[in-house]
Amino acid sequence: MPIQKEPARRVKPYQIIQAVTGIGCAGYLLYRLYTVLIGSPTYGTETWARFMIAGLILGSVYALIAIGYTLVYGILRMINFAHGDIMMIGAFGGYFTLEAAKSIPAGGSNFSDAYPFAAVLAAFLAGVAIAALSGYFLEKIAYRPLRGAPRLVPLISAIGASIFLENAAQLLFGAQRRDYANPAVLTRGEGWTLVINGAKVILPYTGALTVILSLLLMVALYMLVMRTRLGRAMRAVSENKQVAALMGIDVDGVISQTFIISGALAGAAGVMWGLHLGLVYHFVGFIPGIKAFTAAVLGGIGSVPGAMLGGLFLGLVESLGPAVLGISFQLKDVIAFGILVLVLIFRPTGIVGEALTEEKV
Amino acid sequence: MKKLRIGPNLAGVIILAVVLALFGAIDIIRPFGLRFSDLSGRVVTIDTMIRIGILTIVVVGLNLLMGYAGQVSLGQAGFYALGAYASGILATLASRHGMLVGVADTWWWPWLAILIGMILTGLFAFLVGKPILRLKGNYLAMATLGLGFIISILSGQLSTLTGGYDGLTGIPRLRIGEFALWPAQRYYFLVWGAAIAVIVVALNIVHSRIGRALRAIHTNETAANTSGVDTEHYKVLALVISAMLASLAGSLYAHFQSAVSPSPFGFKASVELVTMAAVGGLSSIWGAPLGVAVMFILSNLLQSQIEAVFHIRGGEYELIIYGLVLVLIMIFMPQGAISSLGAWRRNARREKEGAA
Repeated sequence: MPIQKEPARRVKPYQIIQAVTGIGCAGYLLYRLYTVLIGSPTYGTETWARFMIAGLILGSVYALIAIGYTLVYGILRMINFAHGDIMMIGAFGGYFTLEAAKSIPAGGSNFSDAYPFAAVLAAFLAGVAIAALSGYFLEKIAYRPLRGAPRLVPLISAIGASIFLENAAQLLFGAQRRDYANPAVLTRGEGWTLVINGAKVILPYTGALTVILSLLLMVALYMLVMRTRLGRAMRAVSENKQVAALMGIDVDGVISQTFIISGALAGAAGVMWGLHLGLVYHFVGFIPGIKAFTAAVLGGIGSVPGAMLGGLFLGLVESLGPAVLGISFQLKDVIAFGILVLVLIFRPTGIVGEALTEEKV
Repeated sequence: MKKLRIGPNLAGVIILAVVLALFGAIDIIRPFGLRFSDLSGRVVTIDTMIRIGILTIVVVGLNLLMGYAGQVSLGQAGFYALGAYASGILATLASRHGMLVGVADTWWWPWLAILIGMILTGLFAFLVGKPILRLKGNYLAMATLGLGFIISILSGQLSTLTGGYDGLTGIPRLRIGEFALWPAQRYYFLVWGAAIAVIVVALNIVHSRIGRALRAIHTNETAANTSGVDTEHYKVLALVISAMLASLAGSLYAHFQSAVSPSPFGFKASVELVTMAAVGGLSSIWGAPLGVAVMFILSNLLQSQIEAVFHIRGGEYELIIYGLVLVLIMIFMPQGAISSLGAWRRNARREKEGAA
C-alpha cells in the first residue's frame, strides 16, 4: 500500500529511476509551458481562450458523470463500468424528445422552435428519467446478485452490462450517428461573441447552458448528500454497511436510490452532450464514461467535490494539453489515459481524496 | 524408484494433441474430398481453429496472471498488439524501409523477430509492472485499462512506424528454410504446436514453486509476504510471462493475417480475452482452450443465425450475447465452466453417496 509509512531502508535503484523520470517529466512540462507561453508563443490569447472555453464545457460534463462513479464507488466499492452507457441512454431520451418536439406544429413553426424552453426542459426530463430508470434496473439485475462476491466479479459483470447496453442500443436505434435537433435559439456553434486580441471568440449558448446547469446540479447534489436524510443515509452506508443496517437504514434502498441519482446525473450529462456536441450514437457514452472515471480518480474517488474538481481539471487538460506539449490533437486521449495511469500509481487518493484503506481498494 | 504415472494433465495434453493432429491431418490428406469444416457443418473452419489456437496462448497467460496470481489485467490486448507490431515492423524492415537488406529478408529473420518482440514486450511489462502491480483490485484494473488504451491509440497515431489506422501489410509468411508454413493447413500445425507447448509450460509453472507462490498471493498477499514469498517479484513475473505469451500470440496473428492494424487490439479485445478466460474458468489452465473455443464457436453460430433470422449483415450484434454471457457467468458460475462442472460432479457424487 503506497500510503502506509514504510520503515527507512536502502533506496532501491528502481526508486531512483522513478524519481528521475518524475523530475524529468515535470521539467519538460515547465520547459514546454515556458516555450509556448513566453519563449515563442505558438497561439495568441484568443486561441487559448477558445481552448479554455472548450475545456470548461467538456469538463463540466465529465464532472457530472464523474459524480455518478464516485457515489457508486463510495457506497459499493465497485466501478460502475456501464455508467457511460447510462449517459448514452439519457442522450437518446433527449434526442427522441427533441425530435418529437420538432415534429409537433405549434405557433407558426414547430413546438421546439416556438417554445424552446419547454422543449429543452422536456428533453432533460425525459433523458434524466430514462437514465435514472436504467440505472435502477442495472443495479437490480447485474450488480445486486453479486453483492459480497470478490472485487473482480462485479467489475466483469459491469463490463458485460456495458457491452450489452451498447449493442442493444445499436440493435434498437441503428449504428448511424444522429444529429441532435436543437431548438433554433440554441443552434450549435452560435453564441455570444467576445473580442479578444482583435479576434472573435464565440461563447456558445449550448456551452453556457451546459456549464451553468451542471454547476447547479452539482450544488444540488452536494446539498442532497450533506443536508438531507437520504444523504446522511448514503454517507452512513458508505462508511459501514453493517453498522448502517443496525442503525435502521434500509441499505438496499439507499443503494437503489444512489443508482437512481447517479443515473439521473448521467442522463442530464447525456442531454448536454447531445445539445452541445450534436452527435449521438450507441457508442457515445463509452469514452466520456472512461474519461469521467479518470476524473473521479483524479479528484479522489469517493469524494463528491473531488469528482467535480477532477472533471473540470481533466476537461481543461484535455483541451490545453496537446497545445502545451506541442503534439497532435489526436493524442489528447493518450494524455487523459496517461494521467489516469500516473495518478493511480503516484497518488491513488487523488487531489482531495480521503486516505485509502485496504477495504476501499 | 518412482513409478511413472500418467496424470490427468499429461493425459489431457496427449488427447488434445492427438485430436488436433487428426483434425489437421483431415485437411491435408482430405479423405473422400472431405474437409475439416465439413465435419462441423462449416461452423468451425481451419481459420477459426487457428484463431482459437492463437487466442488460447494469450488466455493461458491471462489465466496465470488473473486466475493464479489474482492480478487483473484489462489491457492484455495491448501486449498482444505489441507482439503483433513488433513482428509486423521487424519482418517488413527490408521491404518497407530497405533496412538490413540481406538479413531482414532471410527465412530466419521473422522467427528472430518473434523472439525480439517477446523480449521487448516482456521488458515493457517488467518496467510498467513494477509500479502498476503495487495497485490492487479495481485500481489495478483501471491502470491496465489505461495502459491498453494508450497502446491502442499510439498504434493508430504513430503512423510512420505502424502504418496508422490502415496498418501494416505485406508481412511475409513464416517458413523454415524453403519449407513454407503456409497455406493455413500447415500454419494450423505451427499455431497449435505452439499452443500445446504453452499449455505444457504453463501446467509446469502452476505445479512448481512459482505456481505455489502465485496461489499464495491470490489467497492472501499479506500472509504470503509474511511467509517469505517475495510477492512483488512473483506478481511482476506473472505479468511478464503473460505479456510474453500475448506477444508470441500477436506475432503468430501478424504472420497469419499477413497484416496488422490497430482495430483488433482495442479495449473490446481485452474484454473479450477476459471473457474467454472467465468462461473457461480463471483458475485452470485447461479453462483457456475451452473458454476460447466456446466463445468463438458461440459467436460464429450467433452471427450466422442472427444474419439468417433478422436478415441483417455486417453488424457485430453477437456482441450483445458477449455482454449477456459475461453477466450471467459472473452471477451463476463465477469460478468459470471447468470449476463449475467439477463442483457439479462432486455434488452429484455426494448426493449419490448420500442416497446409498
